[in-house]
Amino acid sequence: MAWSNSKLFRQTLADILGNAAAIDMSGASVDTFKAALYDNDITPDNDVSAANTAYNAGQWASAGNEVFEAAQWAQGGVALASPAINVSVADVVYWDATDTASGSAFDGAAIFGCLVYDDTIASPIADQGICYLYFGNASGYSVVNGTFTVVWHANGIIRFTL
Amino acid sequence: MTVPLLRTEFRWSCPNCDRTLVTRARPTLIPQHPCRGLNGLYAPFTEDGTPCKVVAIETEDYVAGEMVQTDGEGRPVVAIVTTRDDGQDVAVLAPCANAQEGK
Repeated sequence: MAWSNSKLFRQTLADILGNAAAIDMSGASVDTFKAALYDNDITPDNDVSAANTAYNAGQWASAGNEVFEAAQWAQGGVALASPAINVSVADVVYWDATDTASGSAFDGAAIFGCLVYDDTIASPIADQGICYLYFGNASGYSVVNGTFTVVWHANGIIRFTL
Repeated sequence: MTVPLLRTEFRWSCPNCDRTLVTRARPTLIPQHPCRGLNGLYAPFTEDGTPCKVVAIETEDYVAGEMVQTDGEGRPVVAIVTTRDDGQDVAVLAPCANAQEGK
């Protein structure tokens, strides 16, 4: 197995709704969220425990899996700018952010997808994952002395259709 | 006396259409535009005078219920790749993690 889809973590949603994790996704005191890039050595699973959604845990272990370069796309990911919940469309709640980009001299290979996680909360789980997104290319992406940009979907990073 | 020459404008263009842009500073994100040459996709500009090609990459995998991004003709596009003489930029068009029955 490997990357095959894009999912919200089941346990994270349960933790937010059950007030088990104080994840603040919008507003004045919004948390810091980061996007970390990964290669195809992992098999993301949205049904894992909360602990295994976290950055550098379970499938999301950095060593041998994460794609990064210091000062370009940092280890641990790049912070999302202006994350916010949007309820402007009937029957829909979605969470979005400004597109996320590396520095202009990034070298990275075998980029298949990203983990979006909360870099603010420390308990009960530090760096708890929110969702993962598969970039849809079975060959992965390579950037050479350039800019890697994640253009978030106009429908949001995660979306609930009610 | 040495007088520094400061760039006061940056000119951007697209190899696939005739859109251009001028910015007063180098933006953090590469500016994008709806590109007629790429079926309406929001494609990155390139700095004027940079020899390059900009191509849209269609998905190589099954869409399989993913909420993907599409071009003006409804084709699922997963990235726009800019190949320059001295490197390669990639803008991935990320799907949406969609919480909906059956997705």
